[in-house]
Amino acid sequence: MFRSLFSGVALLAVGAVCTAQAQTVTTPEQLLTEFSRCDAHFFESLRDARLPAGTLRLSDYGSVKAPSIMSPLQEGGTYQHFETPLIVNGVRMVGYYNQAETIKNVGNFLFWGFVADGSPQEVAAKLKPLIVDNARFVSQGKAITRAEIRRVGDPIGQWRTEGLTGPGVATPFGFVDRVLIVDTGDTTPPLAGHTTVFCSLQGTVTAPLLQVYRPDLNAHLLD
Amino acid sequence: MTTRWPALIVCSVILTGCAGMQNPQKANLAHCANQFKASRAENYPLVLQEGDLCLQKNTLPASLQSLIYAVQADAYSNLKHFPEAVTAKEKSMQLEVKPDPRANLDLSAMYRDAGNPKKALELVQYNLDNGMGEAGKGSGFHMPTYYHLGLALTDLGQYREAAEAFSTGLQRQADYAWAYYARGIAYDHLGDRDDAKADFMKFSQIVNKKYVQEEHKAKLAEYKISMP
Repeated sequence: MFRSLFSGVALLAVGAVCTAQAQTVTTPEQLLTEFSRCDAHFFESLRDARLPAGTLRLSDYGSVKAPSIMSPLQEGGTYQHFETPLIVNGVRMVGYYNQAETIKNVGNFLFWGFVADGSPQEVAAKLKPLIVDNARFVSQGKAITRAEIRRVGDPIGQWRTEGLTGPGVATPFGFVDRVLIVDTGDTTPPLAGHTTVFCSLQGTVTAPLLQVYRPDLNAHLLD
Repeated sequence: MTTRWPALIVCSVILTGCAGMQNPQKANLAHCANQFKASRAENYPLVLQEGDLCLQKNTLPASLQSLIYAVQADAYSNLKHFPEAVTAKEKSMQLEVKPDPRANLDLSAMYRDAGNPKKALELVQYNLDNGMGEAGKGSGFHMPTYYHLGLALTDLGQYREAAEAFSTGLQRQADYAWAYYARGIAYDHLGDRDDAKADFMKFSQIVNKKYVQEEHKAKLAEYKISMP
């Protein structure tokens, strides 16, 4: 009897998980929540998302979709301007940015996410209710961040919230920093004058990691 | 292991010199010298025999006892007596004057051979947790640490994490053929045949063929790769 009860509960749990995974993103707010995980969920959700017309232009990348850009490695080819801004909880998202680069003796750097109108504080305040694990989404200088770190060899989905690298410090070899960051855009176009809502992976970012977290990319693009 | 050979040679010379003297106590040191000679000759049963006599008949300083046990451990490993290898290695490490991160990696390999990958992983993680790089505390981590980390993770069935560990090691030392082979195995388990094939191909191109065994050739053959 206990076994059948347990089986029933287990089936319900599996069903609930499947339902959650199968739920189609139908609002920009839901999309932002998926994005804020800084993992594959965002790209998986874009596969079936129903979003306002004229906003994100999407392309197929393997089994997922992502906003189309020319190339994350090519300067000038990393940005998509939205014909119609995507409004997320009152924040005007005007474009999508996706960049990857290697800095010798420092590590690999990947940044992806939205370009918004408004100050970082205004944008962060409006988006905070939508952000996963938002208790850790806190001000750090002029930016608002949610940071975590993973040591090579840790379970692939496990991130540490203690012993963080801290801003302005290079990620030590053998570690990967993952940060959701709302900050002032770069001083040059297309980010100048905007606020960026980016996810980043920095440090010892390897192909096996990218295969899990960035299914929209060729995992070997930084090899 | 390579770093131990100069010490072994020096000890061998000293002990051989002492053993040549007419003092019976010092003559017992001949067993120690014989152990080193047997090790160089890859005569592992003799290594164990002479090592035991060396330890029984002499009162050696801790550092030398540690060395004798380390050579015993290698001999047991080569004879595939893995639990005995672990025991000898642990005795060697207990007698070491200061912790040796490389010895931890060697012991990790012995625990893997003995069928205890969990303990093998803990030993590598101990080095990582304590900043004990291969060349000492604070010296940074390189291929040996990530290679042993990857092998322990592979034995635990954590293939994604293993592939990541090998990739990290390869960022430090891109010409280490065996890391490509090991990562190929991890990719193979993940069902990622394209990446596995690329790694096996690279391995076949750069490996020293002297060390390639039938099991490796068989895996390459599965991917229609033959050694050049």
